[in-house]
Amino acid sequence: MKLYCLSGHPTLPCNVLKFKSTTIMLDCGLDTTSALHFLPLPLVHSQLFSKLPGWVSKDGAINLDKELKECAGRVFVDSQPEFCLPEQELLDLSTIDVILISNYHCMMALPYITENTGFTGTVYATEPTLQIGRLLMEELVAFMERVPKAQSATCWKNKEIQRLLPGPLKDAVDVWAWKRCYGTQEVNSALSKVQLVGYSQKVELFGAVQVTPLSSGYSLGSSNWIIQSHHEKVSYVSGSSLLTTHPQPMDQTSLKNSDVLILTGLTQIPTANPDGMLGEFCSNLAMTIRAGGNVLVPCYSSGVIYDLLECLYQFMDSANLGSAPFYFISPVANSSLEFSQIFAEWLCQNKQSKVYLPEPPFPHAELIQTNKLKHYPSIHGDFSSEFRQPCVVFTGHPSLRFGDVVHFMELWGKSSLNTVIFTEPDFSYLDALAPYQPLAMKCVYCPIDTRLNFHQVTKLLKEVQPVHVVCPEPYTQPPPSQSHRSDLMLELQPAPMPYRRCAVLSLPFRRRYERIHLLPELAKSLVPSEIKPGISVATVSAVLQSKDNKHVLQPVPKAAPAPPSKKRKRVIEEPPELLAPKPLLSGAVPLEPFLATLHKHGIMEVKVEETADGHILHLQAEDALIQLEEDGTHIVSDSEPLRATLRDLVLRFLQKL
Amino acid sequence: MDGDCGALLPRVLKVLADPTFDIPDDTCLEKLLDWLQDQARLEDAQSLVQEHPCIPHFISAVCTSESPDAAILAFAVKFTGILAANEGAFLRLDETGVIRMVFGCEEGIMKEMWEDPSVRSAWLHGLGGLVQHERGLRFFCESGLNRVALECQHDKSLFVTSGANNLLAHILNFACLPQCEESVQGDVTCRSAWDRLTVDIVKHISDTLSSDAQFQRRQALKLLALTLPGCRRPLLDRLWAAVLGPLELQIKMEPNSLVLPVMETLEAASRTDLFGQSDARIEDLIEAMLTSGDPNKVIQSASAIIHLEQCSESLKRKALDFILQPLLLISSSSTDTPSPVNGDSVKVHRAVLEGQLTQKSTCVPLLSLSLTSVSKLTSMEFQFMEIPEQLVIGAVMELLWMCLGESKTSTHLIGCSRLQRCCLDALSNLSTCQGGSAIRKNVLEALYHCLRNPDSEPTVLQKSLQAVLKWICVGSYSSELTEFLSQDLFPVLKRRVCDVQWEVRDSTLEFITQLSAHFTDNSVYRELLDCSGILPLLLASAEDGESYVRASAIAALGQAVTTLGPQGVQDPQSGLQVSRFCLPFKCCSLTLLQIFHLSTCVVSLKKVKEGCPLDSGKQTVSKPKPRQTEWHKIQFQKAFPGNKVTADCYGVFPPCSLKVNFTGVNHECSNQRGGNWKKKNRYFSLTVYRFKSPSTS
Repeated sequence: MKLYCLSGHPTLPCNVLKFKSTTIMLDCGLDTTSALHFLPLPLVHSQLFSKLPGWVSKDGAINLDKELKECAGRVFVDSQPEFCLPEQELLDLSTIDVILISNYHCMMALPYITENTGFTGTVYATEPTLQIGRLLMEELVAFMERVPKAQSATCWKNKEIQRLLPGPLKDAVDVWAWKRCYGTQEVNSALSKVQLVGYSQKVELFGAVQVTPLSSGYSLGSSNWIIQSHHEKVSYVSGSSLLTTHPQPMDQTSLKNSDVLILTGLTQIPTANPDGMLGEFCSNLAMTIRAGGNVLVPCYSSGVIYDLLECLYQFMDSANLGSAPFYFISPVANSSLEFSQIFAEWLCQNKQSKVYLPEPPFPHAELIQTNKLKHYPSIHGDFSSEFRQPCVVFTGHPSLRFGDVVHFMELWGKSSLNTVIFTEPDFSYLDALAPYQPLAMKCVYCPIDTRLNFHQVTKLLKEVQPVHVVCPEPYTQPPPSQSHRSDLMLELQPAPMPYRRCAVLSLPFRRRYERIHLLPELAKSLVPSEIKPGISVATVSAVLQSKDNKHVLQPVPKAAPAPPSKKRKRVIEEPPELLAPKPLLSGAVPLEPFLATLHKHGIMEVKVEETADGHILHLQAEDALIQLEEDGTHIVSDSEPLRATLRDLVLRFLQKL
Repeated sequence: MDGDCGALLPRVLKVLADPTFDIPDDTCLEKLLDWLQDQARLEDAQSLVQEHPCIPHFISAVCTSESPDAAILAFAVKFTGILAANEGAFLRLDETGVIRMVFGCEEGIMKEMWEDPSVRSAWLHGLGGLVQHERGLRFFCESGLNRVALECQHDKSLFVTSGANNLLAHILNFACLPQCEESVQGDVTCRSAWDRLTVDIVKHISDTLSSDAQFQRRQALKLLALTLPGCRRPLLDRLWAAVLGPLELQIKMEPNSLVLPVMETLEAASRTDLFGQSDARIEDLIEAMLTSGDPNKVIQSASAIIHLEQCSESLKRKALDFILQPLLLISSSSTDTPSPVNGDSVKVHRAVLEGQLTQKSTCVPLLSLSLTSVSKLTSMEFQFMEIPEQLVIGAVMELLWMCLGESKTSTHLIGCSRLQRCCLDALSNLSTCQGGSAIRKNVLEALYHCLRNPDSEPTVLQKSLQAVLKWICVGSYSSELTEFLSQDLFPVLKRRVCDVQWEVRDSTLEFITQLSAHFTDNSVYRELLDCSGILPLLLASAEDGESYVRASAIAALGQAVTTLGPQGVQDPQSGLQVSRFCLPFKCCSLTLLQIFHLSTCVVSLKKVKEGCPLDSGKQTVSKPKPRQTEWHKIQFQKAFPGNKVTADCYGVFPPCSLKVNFTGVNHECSNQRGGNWKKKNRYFSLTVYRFKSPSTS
């Protein structure tokens, strides 16, 4: 069993498991942090970005002022943002049989995997994962296609030039593998390969293994996966949460007794407690609104935003937030808000029960009804006429490189009354803000990551007791910024197996058994005999048929009576002749009684020599040797009659089957 | 007793004696008993019994009743005890046979009802009254009640055992009562009766102390602690000689679960004449308490030792070592500075302690105990002897950093709010220490981190704020403090005022009030407050959904207005304004802060100092501003001579009437147009906050 690690990112995993002749890809996360090296894509002509000076090397030898711009001491690529894909070279993507998706954040690279690679397999995901994943992909495509860039910068990627570049750009790895965003057609084509599954539904893969999604409690439709054969069980845990938010709670019991547990997607901010951060978020928001400022929340259009809106809904009345409106701006804002309300069966019990009242499960429906929350596909159109300040704006993309958020950053960045509150933990907020410097706006970092923290995961692993744990390398040591916090890493016995990008791990467990079925008529003919209490043995002669990874023992077909033929006998293939099988022997030859028996048969002079495996009896008078070992007995003698006699004596002590 | 009550008493007692009558409120018996006790004290109890024959009649009626209510019987018994405390009344009641009926517990009604603990408890209370005089004591002795009282000391009910302890302690100290001293000295029969009783009781204590049952040993220790302070020689010597042996065994016992009662006993003993006496070995025993193997118990003992008045300095120093040791040990493990606590006895203890400190389950109670003891020490103005106070403060701070996850070691304490609370209490108390101002900056930094930490619990935040206040008050105002206020404190307060939890909002607002009150006369602070941007948030908080928060917001605003002076609070952003003017009320003692939350108009009244200049606009609050809709005129019509002022509110939203209830308003002179109020009256500032009405926008 092998694990190919195509991504080293702990929360955006992409691994391939080869198990029992199947090749299973586990998630395909897209690392969008590479976009931070690019200049933001403004929606309208931007004073700020158009005036930036181009970059010229110190000696003036290299002039890339068309491709690279300098802002506040850092250099950005002036081109459409590109993303860092899962590793393509490590293994032939066309050999992948299935892709299992655990949540909508971990499927953003899907079109890169399934399109133009010869992929012919199936993708399995739950319905909310597919639908919301589609929304996120469509949103990403819309962000990019809305503001097309004529040129594509490639010169800077030249190794010789990149080496001379300043700052983080110089250290970016594998830049040639970065790709521009996919298009609508690719999204549709990729998603058409998705087959929907429900929690606890068992899906057979080629008869070899069975895969089952389990609720992971992190987001709508998010799942962990169980991959099991008759004798082996592999659990894949990715992005799970034990907090009570909107999704169905995590199913922990089904993870028990795994041979291997692949653990990814723990919280990215282990030191920040989501409840505390939610409190911080609310208080900073209230503080800004009360002082007459605007609040910008760069966020994804699905996920934590539902919880943020719910929290604000409860907080609003008690904390006197006044009449400041909330705006949610995204090409998919409407669908996202509505989808969340219709996936009732995927929600936590508390929210499910609301549906039967009937009430919308999320309170944002009420916010929309009372006109507190308004959603728009973009800043153009209705929004510009209804826009009122002070207000709270939720919009993407959290990297601040594309989407409507770019506009608001430019609009509000100059006033210290306004605040930008980062809630998504995927991007470093300092890097995200870099091209907007200097910035008067207040910045608050309240990362809300509800995924398992180290304390919870240690407890979980203690309960489910997997034999081996595989996890991304960063989880096996404390974060570099807090090297003293030994509580912020996985400490297990035995130690977890770390993986990094491009690693190929041989998982330390062997398949030892395979299940084989006996046909009833064959089973009827068996004569079991008990060798130990509870264990019976029977010999069987049969034909093994293997098909679709299923093995069946069939009775040996009887030889058809040869048709009477007068012609010259042709050499026909005889069916395998059914010989009566030699009896199988079992048991051990006890030394003392055996010596006594030899004595009885007139063999007096026996010299017994003890060896590592048993005994050697030297029959001196007969000049013969008997080697008694655990798994064999040898009689060495020149005289055939003596050998036969000795053999019969030995056989007396053994059981025949 | 006045005539009406006297006339009513027979009827009341008759009702109580009637078994068919049910008393709905069982506290009325206690209240009646209190009243009767007052009567017996004010008047002569003897004449009370004589003038009201219904009393003995009532008692005997209850005692002869077929099926009395236990509560009524207990009442009657206690009542008898109150009366019998007077020798004359005792004789009178004895003549009628009531005394024997009530206190003879081995026959009659008392025997029947003895199983009820309230009856036993009442019996012991009654006897406590009875044994106030020589005749009572003789009765007690002759009736053989001593044996029953001693049995009661081991009763199942804690109320009964406590009653028995009090009674027995009282009997042992009988000879020291001023009214009895003479009779015990003079009267031979009385003397011998008392002697017999004391011999029995002393033997009982000594036997019980050696008993195997922990409950009984605990009771004996309690009795001892009650008796010792009032006990005199020669009984004192006899008593101590009898208990010394068993007491020593108890102290050496492992595990000693009776640390606190033993310490109480030793504390009581240390206050007697025995203390200086070498053969009494009190100090040795106290010192032995520190040798227990359980660090928790040792700290409990040590904490009690520090409180002893007469204890030697060396022993106190040792006790202090034990208290501080866990604290210094865990903080020095992270800073690598050697602990100054290094006595020999402490070293033995250290290994156990270090083991316990590495585990969260044992470490947290231990450190909490240590911190609580430190808090107690500072509150009694205790000096830390040669251990520098800064070191103690440093250790507490280090622990606080550990809880915040900012320390290099001891990750097992991260996020432990119980310890954080204890640390903050200790830090608050330590602010009074000498040399505090030198490390004020560091302490404030640690406290600032507590305030900033999003995971802090509301209680932790509240305690942090209180500690900040205490430390800000330490030493003089400096530029350092200005920096702390403007760069750290105010930004975090602004956020906390808008917190999700109302408790946090509330305590932050309270803190702002206290802070402004502290800096009323400080011009730098005034400027800081004005530019901090807190004031608009305070105004917004006055409309908070939670009434407590609104109340605190008004108080904070009131204080801010007072601190800022006549210009009031203005907020150009939101168009809100707070202004102030004085209403000429003459009031003597007004301590009110009335809050009105009517639609969007809030009025708060605040007392100001005498001699405050009168605003010329007595009635109109302010002139209308250009943006008409945002302003409301509030006109106060008149101040009634009674206790309220009404004001009508004019403006764009419907008129409403503000009713201000004044307590303690001087009735005689409240007319605002009156002639001479200017000179001598106190004024109240009326702070009026006007808000944009939501309906107008």
